Amino acid sequence: MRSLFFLVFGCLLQLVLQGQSSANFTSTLNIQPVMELSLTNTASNATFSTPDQYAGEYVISNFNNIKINSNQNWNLSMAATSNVFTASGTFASANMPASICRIGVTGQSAVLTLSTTSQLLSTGNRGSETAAGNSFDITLRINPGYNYGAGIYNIGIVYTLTAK
Amino acid sequence: MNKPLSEYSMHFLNAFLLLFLVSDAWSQSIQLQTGQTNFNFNTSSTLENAQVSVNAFSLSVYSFSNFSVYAKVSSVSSSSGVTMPASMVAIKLNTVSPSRSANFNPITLSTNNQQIIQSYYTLFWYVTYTYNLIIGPIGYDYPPGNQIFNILFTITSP
Repeated sequence: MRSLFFLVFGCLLQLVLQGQSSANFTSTLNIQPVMELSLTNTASNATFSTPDQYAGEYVISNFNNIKINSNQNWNLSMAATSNVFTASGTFASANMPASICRIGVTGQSAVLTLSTTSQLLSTGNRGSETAAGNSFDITLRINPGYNYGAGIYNIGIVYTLTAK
Repeated sequence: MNKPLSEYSMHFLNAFLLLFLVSDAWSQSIQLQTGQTNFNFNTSSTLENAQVSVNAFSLSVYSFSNFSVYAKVSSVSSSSGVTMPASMVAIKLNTVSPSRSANFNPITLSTNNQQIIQSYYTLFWYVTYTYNLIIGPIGYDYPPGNQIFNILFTITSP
């Protein structure tokens, strides 16, 4: 009878005490493509008021500042929103083309002539804006010559960031 | 005078059961319940800030002796070819039930066992430790894809 008691008690206790000495779980991180471009217009206006500015090339070396955060290697392209500038003013010319502007990354020799065709401006590797090459200035070079009347001219420039 | 065989058997059985009970007296167990342990990173904000799953998992422990629980990242795998370090994962104790003293500081995990709980016996009762799971910030250095962490907990007696 005593054995039976021990047996039953032991079995019950064993059922209660059955356990494990380790446990684990899995955590899955699903990382989606994330690309972010921030643009600062540091000097978006150019005023031509001296003969030298018409004769030579008007250069704005800090025209835009671009910062890129991306978890993919990237391409940055740019294009004009129209073939010609929109003109206002009595003597303004309606036919000043986008191509009077040339654009490049400050400090690099490659310079692109602005047009409505998207052109590759720069490439880089994944990383935050503090990573090498992910933050830079844009240089704008403008050379209208003497072919266009005095006035106010505007044109849009679109930067496009894509995965490489 | 010889005792009947059945009496020897009874003594043997009693001794066996006694050993059985004594061995169980050292018994301990850890049971895991999980909540939200998966994360989705789809914005700059989720990449740039630590992501926290509150009450992501609970460890229910009983032990007939003082005990320690250790945690480690037992494996990390990646679908993108770039594997995150184990240190990307941290845990933080949120609650203990029933209440007892514990380490409520964030603990960054590694591939080596780290003691996350050290406490005294619970006897038959479970003590449940509920943790937040913390990831990152992971930043922009890891390409799109899945990172799979396997996190292992082990209970031992000191």
